Amino acid sequence: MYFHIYAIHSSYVKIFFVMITKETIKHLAVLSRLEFTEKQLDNFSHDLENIFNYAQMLNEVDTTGIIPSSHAMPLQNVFKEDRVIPYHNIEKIMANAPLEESHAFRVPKILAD
Amino acid sequence: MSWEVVIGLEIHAQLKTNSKLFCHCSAAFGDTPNTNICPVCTAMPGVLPVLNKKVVDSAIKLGLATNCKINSINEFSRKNYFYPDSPKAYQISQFDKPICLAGYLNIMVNNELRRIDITRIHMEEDAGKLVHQGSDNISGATHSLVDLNRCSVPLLEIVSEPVIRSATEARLYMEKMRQIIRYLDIGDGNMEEGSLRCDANVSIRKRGDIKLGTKTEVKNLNSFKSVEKAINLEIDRQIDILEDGGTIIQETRHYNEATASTTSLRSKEEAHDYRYFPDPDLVPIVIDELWIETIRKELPELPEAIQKRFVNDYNLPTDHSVRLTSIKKLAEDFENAYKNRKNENITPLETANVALKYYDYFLSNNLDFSKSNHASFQIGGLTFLVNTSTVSSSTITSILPDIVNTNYDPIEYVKEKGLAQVSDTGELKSIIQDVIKENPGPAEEIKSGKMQTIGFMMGQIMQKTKGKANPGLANKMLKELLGIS
Amino acid sequence: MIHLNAHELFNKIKNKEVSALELTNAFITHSKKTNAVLNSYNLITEEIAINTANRVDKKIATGEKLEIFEGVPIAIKDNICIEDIETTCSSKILEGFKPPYNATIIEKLNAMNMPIIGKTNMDEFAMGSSTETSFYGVSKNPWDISTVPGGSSGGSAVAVASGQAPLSIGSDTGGSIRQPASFCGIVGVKPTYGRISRYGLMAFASSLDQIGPFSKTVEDSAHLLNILCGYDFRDSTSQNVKAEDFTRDLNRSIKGIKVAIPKELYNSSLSKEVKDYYDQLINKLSNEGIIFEEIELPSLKYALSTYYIIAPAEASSNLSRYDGVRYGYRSENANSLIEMMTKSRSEGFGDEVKRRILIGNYVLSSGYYDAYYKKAQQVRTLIKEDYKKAFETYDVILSPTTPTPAFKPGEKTANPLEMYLNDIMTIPVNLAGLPAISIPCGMVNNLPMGLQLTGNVFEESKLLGISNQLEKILCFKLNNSFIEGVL
Repeated sequence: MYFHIYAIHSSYVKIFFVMITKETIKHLAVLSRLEFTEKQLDNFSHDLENIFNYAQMLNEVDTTGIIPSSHAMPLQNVFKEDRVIPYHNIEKIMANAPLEESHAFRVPKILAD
Repeated sequence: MSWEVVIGLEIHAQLKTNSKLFCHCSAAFGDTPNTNICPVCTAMPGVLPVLNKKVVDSAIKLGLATNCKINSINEFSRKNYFYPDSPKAYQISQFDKPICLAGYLNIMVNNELRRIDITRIHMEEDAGKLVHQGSDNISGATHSLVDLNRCSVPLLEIVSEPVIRSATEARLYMEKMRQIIRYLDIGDGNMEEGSLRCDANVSIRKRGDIKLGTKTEVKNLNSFKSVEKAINLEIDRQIDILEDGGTIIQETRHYNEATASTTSLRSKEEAHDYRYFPDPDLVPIVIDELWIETIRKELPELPEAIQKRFVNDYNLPTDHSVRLTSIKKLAEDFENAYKNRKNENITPLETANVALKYYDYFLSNNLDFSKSNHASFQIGGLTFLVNTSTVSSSTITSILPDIVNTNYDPIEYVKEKGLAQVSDTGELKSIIQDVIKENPGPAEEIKSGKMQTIGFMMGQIMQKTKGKANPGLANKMLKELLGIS
Repeated sequence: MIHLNAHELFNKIKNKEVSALELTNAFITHSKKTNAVLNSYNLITEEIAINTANRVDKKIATGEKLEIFEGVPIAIKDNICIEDIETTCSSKILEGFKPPYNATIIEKLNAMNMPIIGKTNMDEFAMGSSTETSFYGVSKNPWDISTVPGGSSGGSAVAVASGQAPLSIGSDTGGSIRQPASFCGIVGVKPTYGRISRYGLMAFASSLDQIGPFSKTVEDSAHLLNILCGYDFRDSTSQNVKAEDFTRDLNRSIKGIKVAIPKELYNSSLSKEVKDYYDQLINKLSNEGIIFEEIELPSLKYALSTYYIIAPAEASSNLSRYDGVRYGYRSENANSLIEMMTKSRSEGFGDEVKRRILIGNYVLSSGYYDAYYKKAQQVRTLIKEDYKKAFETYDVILSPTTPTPAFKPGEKTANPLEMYLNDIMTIPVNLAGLPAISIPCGMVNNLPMGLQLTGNVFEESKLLGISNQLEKILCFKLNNSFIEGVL
């Protein structure tokens, strides 16, 4: 929705110039639960533009029919048995809570936004 | 204007496992917040998930029982979103490679068979619980508390095609799904406790239209009654809007059982970009034929098959066999009761009648039938008593409160309490003669052909025998003594 | 004594020339003294180190036999969980976080009674090649403290290079062990993906992360790998392979071995100075009977682009759990939940982490997934296939570990892409899950340079054997002048 891709030229390989706008960064910031100053928005849009334009070289590669790799090594069917092993240091988990109340993690009010 | 209703259901069934989906914490309901937790399900930095094999087995079971195709290559994906009840800020779920695809269930609607198509079934983890403080609802709360006991408990999400045509159909389909989940013993299927949940996608269109109308998603349906009620409310709401010339907004609506109304939940702009990608911490699950066949052999006989068998083998009316198979234990208790006493000439129909009466008693008194360990034995005994006319069927109803949830032998109980029917013709004859003598007027009425008065006379006989007179016999003898048979 | 390698130190303990406690104290004292300059530690864990050393001494006193490396101190990168010990990933967002559990490798080190003397500095969440992104400030390269030690496991490399610890642990997602090992003139190993459990390693990019050792010698790393490796049921990606002794090939002759030099790594990005240096080195090694052949691995050209899509994608999701709800930093300046999460993350993460979260979320966004993420995963498959083909013919693949020796802080921070290009030699290995090692091979501009050897999957023993023989030929000497200057 905020992303723009412009084709600069195309020979037998498609090369695009990727433009990352400040609006794009703002949208990504919302998805990422981050907020930025205007200057950061400028910097990040510039950085990401450079990086994605560098990565455009991937378009040179013919990947038709190539199976994507989600893992470094092939492995399958790794399971645990359905057995309860109680964890005995729950208090050490709770001790890390920034704010605890009634043995629960307390968070500020949730605004319906 | 004639409207057609289009409903699709997303059912979430919590699975009955000992441990959670990706860690060794107990999956049991925890009262005290954060007691069934560990570093893995609280998403401490550095932890890793390992898949509970029983969940895969359960998913295959449900897939086979709902006529689905089992996908041989399975993958877990991360569904990314921030919310405090989701500690990793992503839910581990299945995206484009769900475990079951393209199944269906048959339901009976007004004595007509309806096939409800199932799009997919996939495995995923449950979220934790948020308790809002300072108010009953989220908007008035001052703050909230995060309890992760339920976090990562295994769920199956069952998505139907938008082929359901009424709120009643939706409820019947949901009930059928629960029945199967319980037969397979993979989940409790308890809507009130949240182990079975459902969201309904509802839209309407002009009859004959091919294009679907704009849908809304109705959430918070916590009982079968709610499912039906909320969907009907939503249908009415949509019809009102369209007939007033308005348009339906695609949105999520929250059903409030107390006020019997739905309210809109405004959705966030970015809420729908979940950025799914294969979870690199988990490896693919490859399900081969051998695995599927092993599970298929473990499948119990399912209700539809048992119904057919009861009709064919025992000559039971369809209605009886449907009711007997509503839960697996009842079907089993009925069949065991019959088999154990069939040498004593009891009939399947007698046994079925007693079994249903027995089960209805549990239902109408909110008792837990699953814990009734002597049901089969007692149903058998009671059927014997009825078969031998030792007690009337109304007597059975009156003694159930005393014997269910005990190990009483009904035959012994009736003997002990002296509840056997008076079937001794000599004794009965003198009682009936007394009744005729004491009520000459009604006796004359009967003789002159006013048959309704027989009921009154029978009442008098029952009063004298404290209800123990064998009604068939008494009726017959009364008529004989009045010379009208 | 602190100049000695782990094996020599172990022998001294075993022969009762020094007690484990004396040894541990010596390293702690030296660490404390030098840390002010080097900034290699986020935390020195004196108490647990001394407790462990005492256990070893008790064992010696009762005449029990010691197993190799019992009593030998070790430093741990600050992204590996130690129960009750603050573990921060050098990030403000994990300030004060005390893990409620031990990483699997910590359990193994504890079982081997190796005193843990500290948590080492690193790039924030291992995202960086210089330790400059650390919330706790940059570490210094002991060879020249005006240069960076490399990263992200910079602190661990510095600890070994400066005599603060004879051994240390790092993690390697795109070169984070090998590159700092190269910059600091020591040995660093990234094992086959799945050899060492990742349980307890705070994830950066799950499909690329791998724990590994730093040491002064190849032999020490081989022994340490024997301790660290092994199947772990808590890590679904852990490889269930038979245990082997990684020292078994250390003395095997390397005459006649076939070594491949991929053009894609050897020509493109090297300065003439560096290229000339390695040409001369290869000449020298050819005289030892090693057969070198230049080969083409065409997909390697795309490794960097592939990596900078896959790693940030995984990272953006892995780092979402740092939301201020259950642990670590929570912003005080928030009135609602969403504000609390947003401010905690914005105040808690540094710029490089934010940059990668943005990249990751972009490539996973609907509409961009296929063009970036899926495409990168497909290219990843091609990279794996290229390597697989090469190992049908060659024993190992050789390249420089880095295109340049250590650089100065600030030199590459202005342009992130330039910083990323520093990892161009090391990144392809992670994408393919292969084992690789960096051994020091000499000096360029008075700074150490490393030789990277990559082996086929699970062929660590062969890789270590060849490396050990090369180490003998190369005769690289650690620079102890910094250490002596401090003492």
